[in-house]
Amino acid sequence: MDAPQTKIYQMGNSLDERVALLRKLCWDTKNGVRSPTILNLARQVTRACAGRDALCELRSIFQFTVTNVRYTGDVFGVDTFSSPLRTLQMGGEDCDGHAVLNCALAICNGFRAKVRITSNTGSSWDHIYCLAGMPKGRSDKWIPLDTTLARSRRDFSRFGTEPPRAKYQDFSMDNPG
Amino acid sequence: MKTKALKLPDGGTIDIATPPEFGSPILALNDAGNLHRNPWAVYGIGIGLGVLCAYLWLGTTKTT
Repeated sequence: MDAPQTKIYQMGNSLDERVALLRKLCWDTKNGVRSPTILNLARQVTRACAGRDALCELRSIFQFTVTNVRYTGDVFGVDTFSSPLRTLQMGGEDCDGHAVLNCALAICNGFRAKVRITSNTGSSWDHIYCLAGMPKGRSDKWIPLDTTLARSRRDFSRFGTEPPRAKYQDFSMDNPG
Repeated sequence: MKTKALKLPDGGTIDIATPPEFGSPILALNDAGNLHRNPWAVYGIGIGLGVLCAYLWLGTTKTT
């Protein structure tokens, strides 16, 4: 029997190419937005909120991810990407895993989502997090969901806050088709 | 299929299924977040246990 082969994605280092892969994982049929498992999960996460209380839904998503997904690093030397369900199964991910999961949960609850990639000093791209559009359908204001900022599994005080950055770029997480 | 309970904001829980590979002690993670069992490591453990059992069995037969 042949040993399973590690699946390596050949891609460049551009932000567009990396975000395209994150978008694909977010909308994945088996482990992402298109999966009934993730859709059901997203609806259960916000089930205590009153109808049309979008801010409550985003708070619940933030709280859920902080509680269930620890912030940890990638495999040493390998930029590791994870679909929403895989992130929940493993219980730990770095910033891109948190961003993809939060975007998937927001999208499943009717929000438009995007990711913001930030640079700490302006010389490299260092961090990524999800933003959800408010109100639903219009997206006049974007609420940041950076669950990696929490100091503990019970620290929900960072909801709506963003880390300091020298510059940033936003990328849509709309349906890639 | 094993399951994992996730805590919901309202205090409840929801179970998600975890793949059987998660029961394996030896896993390799690729850069797309997929998990694979490494069969060679499993074979190594099997061969090691076989050698150990044979050694113990031979030792027992010699003393009796």
